[in-house]
Amino acid sequence: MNKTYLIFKHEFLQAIKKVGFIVLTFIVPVLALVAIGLFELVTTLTEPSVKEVTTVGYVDEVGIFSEQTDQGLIKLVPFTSREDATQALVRRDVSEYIVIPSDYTSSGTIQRYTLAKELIPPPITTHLIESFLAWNLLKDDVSPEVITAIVSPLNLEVTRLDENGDIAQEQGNIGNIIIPGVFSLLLALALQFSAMSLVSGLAEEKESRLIDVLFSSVSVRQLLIGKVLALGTAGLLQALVWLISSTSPVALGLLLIRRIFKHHSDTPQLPPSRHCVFYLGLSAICRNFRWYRRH
Amino acid sequence: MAAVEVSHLCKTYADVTAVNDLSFSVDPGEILGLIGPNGAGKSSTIKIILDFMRPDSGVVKIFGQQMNEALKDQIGYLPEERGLYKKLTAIDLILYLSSLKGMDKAMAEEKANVLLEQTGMLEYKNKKNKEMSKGMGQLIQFIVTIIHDPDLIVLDEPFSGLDPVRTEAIQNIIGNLRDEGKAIILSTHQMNKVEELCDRVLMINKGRTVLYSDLVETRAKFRRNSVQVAIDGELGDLPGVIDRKLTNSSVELFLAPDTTPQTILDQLREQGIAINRFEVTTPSLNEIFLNLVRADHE
Repeated sequence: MNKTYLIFKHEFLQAIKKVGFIVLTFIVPVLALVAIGLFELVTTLTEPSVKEVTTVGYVDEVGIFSEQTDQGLIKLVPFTSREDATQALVRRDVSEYIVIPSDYTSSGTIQRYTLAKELIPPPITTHLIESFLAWNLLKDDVSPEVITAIVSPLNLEVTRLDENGDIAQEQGNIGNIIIPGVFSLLLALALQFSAMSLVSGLAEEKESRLIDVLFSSVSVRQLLIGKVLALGTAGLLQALVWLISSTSPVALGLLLIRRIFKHHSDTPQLPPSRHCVFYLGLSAICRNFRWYRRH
Repeated sequence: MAAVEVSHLCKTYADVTAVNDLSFSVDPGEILGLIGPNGAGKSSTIKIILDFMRPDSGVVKIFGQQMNEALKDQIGYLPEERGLYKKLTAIDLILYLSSLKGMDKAMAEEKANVLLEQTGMLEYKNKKNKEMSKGMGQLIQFIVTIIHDPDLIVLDEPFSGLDPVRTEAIQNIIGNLRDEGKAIILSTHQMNKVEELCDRVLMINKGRTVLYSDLVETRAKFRRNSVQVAIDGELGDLPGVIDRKLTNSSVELFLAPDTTPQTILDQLREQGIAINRFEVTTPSLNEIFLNLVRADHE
């Protein structure tokens, strides 16, 4: 039998039989599940169960803004003067108010007043106010469908064509970037595992002079190829176990958490990339910690 | 054809000459004792023979060929410093290393059981190596060395750390291997084992050959003209005796150049002295070794 294969077989079986390997392979998914579960639990508990409706006051000095005051999560309440609006804000009847000045149509400037310290206005608020303004500006001249299109003018659907002008089989999407990235990480981890195991294994064999016995039977090339392939395969196997376990068990765990605490009926949808990166990061830390402890 | 033929081997590490123009051969069915003080160049010589390192000059031929991968299956090597895969059981280690020598698993298992039995290790075959004593580990490695029926066996200190019972078992196995026609290089500091086992001896010091000859011839060559005598009572004057040296239970009589041991024996008989022991003095290999090394240092 090929001696390289014999070394590969021996080294692979020894690597996957090690207690450290088994523990690390199966403990990382458990740790990841616990960590992600805790993160989701905290997030779920802290986020409001019913999305609150924000009331925003407005003072219309132009006199044309009266429709579409109910924007779903934002309700716009008219005030006749800035003073009334300020009083309402101080009383916290409204969370903020805007003033549409009389020269708005020429200047395009809206004044916004709030009690909160913020770097920039919340994007959702800005978008809904924009929608409110656009609707009222165009309501007399344009159909509601066109107004909706103007408010949200772009829903871009991209289709990649091949060189013949046909729809390409592989469409560019986030998965095309993430999947190679994840597999690069897997490869890096497998290489790291093999390199560390190879060096420590060879040092041990050199120290005990067992390497002399091995070299009396096989060449340096056979020994190294057998070892590198075996340890690389073991590393990939471990990473594969983590990758597989990063989907189903975690998803089930999250579903359970959400069901228990929120009675949500929807299946949790964590991006797979987030799982993978989290898993691989955690596993790299665990592995390095173990390696440094050993040396 | 010689099993090993070494011609004018030289090896230098920086400014230290480890092997200096060394030439020798080992024939099938022969045990060559490789002896020398620490740092004499024994390990370097063995490593060059096994192709672990290249000589600066000189040629090594194993069964008439330069070392190659196919030849490795015909060689068994027991290094001086021994180590085992600690987490493997004895039998697993033997089977793995024998597979690297091209042995079929079933045959290796059968042979391993025989050798484990011979060395008194059968009951420990499923024990992990880390649970074994140094001597037990050594026996396992000895089994690994010979299990594949090699034609050339290189043993570096095979008896160190072994109890007398197991030493005898190993010694018997080595003797049997020689009788089967195996060529054996035995490197050891235990001179008594060299005397008991070896056919020829190669003594090296500072990388050079100090002595390379048949063991019987070596003893004859270094024999002193003296006899060991043990008698009841006092030993009177004996013509032809130029000096005498008392030991615990006997006296060594140093003879004049023209006096033979037979002459002394005849004189003792004529004087009616009861002789308990009469022996022509043969220097031990240890004495020869010490004398040669001292002379070489001077």
